[in-house]
Amino acid sequence: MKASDHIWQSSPRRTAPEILVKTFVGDVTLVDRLVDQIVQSVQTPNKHYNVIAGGSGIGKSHTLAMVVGRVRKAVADTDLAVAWLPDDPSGLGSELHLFEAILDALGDGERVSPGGAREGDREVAATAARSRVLEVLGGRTLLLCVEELDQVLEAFGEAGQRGLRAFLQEERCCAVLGTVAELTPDFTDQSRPFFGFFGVHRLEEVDAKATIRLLAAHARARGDSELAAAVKSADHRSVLSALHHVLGGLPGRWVDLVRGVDDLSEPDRILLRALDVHERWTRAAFERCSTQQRLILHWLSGQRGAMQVKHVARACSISEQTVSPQLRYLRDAGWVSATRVGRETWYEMRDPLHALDCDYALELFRYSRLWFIDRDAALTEASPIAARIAAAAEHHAEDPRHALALPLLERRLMAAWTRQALER
Amino acid sequence: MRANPGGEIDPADVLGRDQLIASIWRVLSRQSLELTAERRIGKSSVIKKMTAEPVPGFGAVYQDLEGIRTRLQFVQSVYRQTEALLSRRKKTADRLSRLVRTISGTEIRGLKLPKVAAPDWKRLLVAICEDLQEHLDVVLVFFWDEMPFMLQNIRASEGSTAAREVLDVLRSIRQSITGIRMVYTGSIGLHHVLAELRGGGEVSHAPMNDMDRLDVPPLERADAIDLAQRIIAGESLPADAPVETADALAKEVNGIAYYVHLVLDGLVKEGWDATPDTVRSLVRRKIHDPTDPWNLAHFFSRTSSYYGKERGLALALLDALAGTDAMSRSHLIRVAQAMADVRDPHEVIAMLARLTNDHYVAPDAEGDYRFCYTVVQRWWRHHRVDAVEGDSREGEA
Repeated sequence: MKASDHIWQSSPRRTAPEILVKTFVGDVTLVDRLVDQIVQSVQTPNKHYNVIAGGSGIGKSHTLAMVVGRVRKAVADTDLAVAWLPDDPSGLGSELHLFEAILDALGDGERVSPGGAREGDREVAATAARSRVLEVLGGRTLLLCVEELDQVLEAFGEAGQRGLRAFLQEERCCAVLGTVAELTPDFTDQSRPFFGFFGVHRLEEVDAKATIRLLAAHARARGDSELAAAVKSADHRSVLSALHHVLGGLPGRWVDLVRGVDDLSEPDRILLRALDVHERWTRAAFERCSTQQRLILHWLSGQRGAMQVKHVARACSISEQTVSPQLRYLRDAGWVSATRVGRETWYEMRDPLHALDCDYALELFRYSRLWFIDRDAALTEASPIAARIAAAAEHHAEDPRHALALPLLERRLMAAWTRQALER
Repeated sequence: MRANPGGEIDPADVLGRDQLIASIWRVLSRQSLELTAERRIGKSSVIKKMTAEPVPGFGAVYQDLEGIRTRLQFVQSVYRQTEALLSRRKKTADRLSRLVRTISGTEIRGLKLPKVAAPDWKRLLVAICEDLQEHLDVVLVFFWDEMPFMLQNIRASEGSTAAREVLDVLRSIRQSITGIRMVYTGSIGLHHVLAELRGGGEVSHAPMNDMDRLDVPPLERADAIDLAQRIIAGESLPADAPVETADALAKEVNGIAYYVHLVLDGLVKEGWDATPDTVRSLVRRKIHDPTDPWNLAHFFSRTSSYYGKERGLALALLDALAGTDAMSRSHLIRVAQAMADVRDPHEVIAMLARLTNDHYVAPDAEGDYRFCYTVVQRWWRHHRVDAVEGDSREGEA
């Protein structure tokens, strides 16, 4: 077995292009558009700079790898060189590091300069490395692929960013395609060098049908045709639809889930595995939040329904000007949903299972599943499941999130059910 | 043509700038100049087009200077460009080579100026320009983009005097070498950087008083419509009335090419048809969005660094203008007296001049003042004026 036969979840670019295509459930229109723009960047003096934005697990790297795979097929190597910078951006702290990383990515063995400890030496080395990049390109267009571009720019600082921007502006030989978990002030603040520089393409969560396709594709890719068939059968539709309300539409979480699932016959076991995956991803995402963002999340998760910026600002004792970008980050990262009503935007928690007791979450999952089997039964107040949920909520009466989780889940279930009804 | 907000635009696709470019060449036939405009108006596109398509008798070099942090780096950067230019004509920078040999005792290797030459950067720069004058049979224009950032960088790393020296040496070269022209542009006004450099009680410093000054305006309405129509067609956006849609867009964004690209790119992303209504709706949403995706709040927040203690007066004038189409100078003086307690009309007149320099406002043909850009005015009205009035209405209720 070759390494490229494996489905690399952490680094999709190592996966074979044909497997990437088979397991892709993201935005095909976006892929087409980005490919088109890069091809235009090669064939004309126009150059496009794009970033794919979205929280962890939403499929940024997969989309990027898809685009690059398609571009390589569409454009000859004599016209295009692809420099895919390292996944870990921590080594890219300056222009010199960037140009050296580009040279490495282009397979250039000739080291321009070892660099020096003194600032002046590094500047000279950076200039030489920049010239060497142009030499290696030899008139080809460079497609610079940068994962976690937000972190790279942060590591660069303003001086490094200005150097990079000057390179792009002066040489006009480079298209950029990056990924960002969040649009930091480096992208959104007019006073920063790269404000308005990149076309931003925000990825959306995929729907339940796409997740079923994803599971089937992964099952097939690992040779488990039985599971692939089971995923697509109507018998398990209620389990998968309910799971969609636990994991949401983040492909990364589903890939994580399917790796530990052999069959779908025991819904509770799958759900517990899903809760485990959910909690791991949520915890990792929470660790990336700032103290202010955590404060906002904590407050929002205790609210019944959606809130405006001014409500959040007052409750958290933060100015509205400060709260707005924080909410934007939380929206982009998938923590909260934003709904526009007239001139105002209302924010609420997206995740009905956020910080819930596992047994209570399990009951909510069973309840969700019942919705997709027999909605009337689910909505009967006297049903055993309703009684169990009420009892569990009472058991956690001191934590309002348990009482609030059910109405939030029901709103989402109602939306999904209506969508399904309309499709029917 | 495809939507490409923020990206590199093919000089052949830079539309509606022929008249402006002709007038810039006209100025350059006699003197150097400073090109001013708000960020994202299209200055860089204009000068890159001029670099790609110089008129007979001129040669052009484009340089983005924002990454340069020292005087020697600047000279090095000019030298690199110069050498490329001369080598195409099979010439070399002889004076510079001799000078480097005299200063350092070594030859120039790999287009790198030796560090020991750093104290002699002025002589090196002059030598480069003299080499150019001798070997080129055209007037050479240096289009120096982001000049203010370079000056700020040099000020930060080598001090205000060093940054001032750069401007002085460039002025002196303009005076003595007739075949060289310079065009300074930048995202921030050079007048702000000059004010910083003059700080600390320095004597008056006017290193650009030999240069003309031209403002790059947004596109004329007809050109913006043309651009929008081409992008609508290039992106295959469904549009029953492309001309009306393009017209609505040109009006909504004041003919600013960047926003024309941005809004049409937004329609593609949303999967919307291009209609006058969708265009207006998208612009309205962006302006009213509390998360401010176009960062128009920047025009408000930068007032503290731009106007310091006089910020109150600036805000009073802008608040008053945001709620109206245009206002006479005398009316604005009364506003300032009522809202900012400014008694001296000359203070108001001086502030209006500063706001004009910073592209907040512009006097129209009648001498009345209005916001330069309606997107900024609409943001200001919604987030400052309406919000405050709305809050006071809530308070009264």
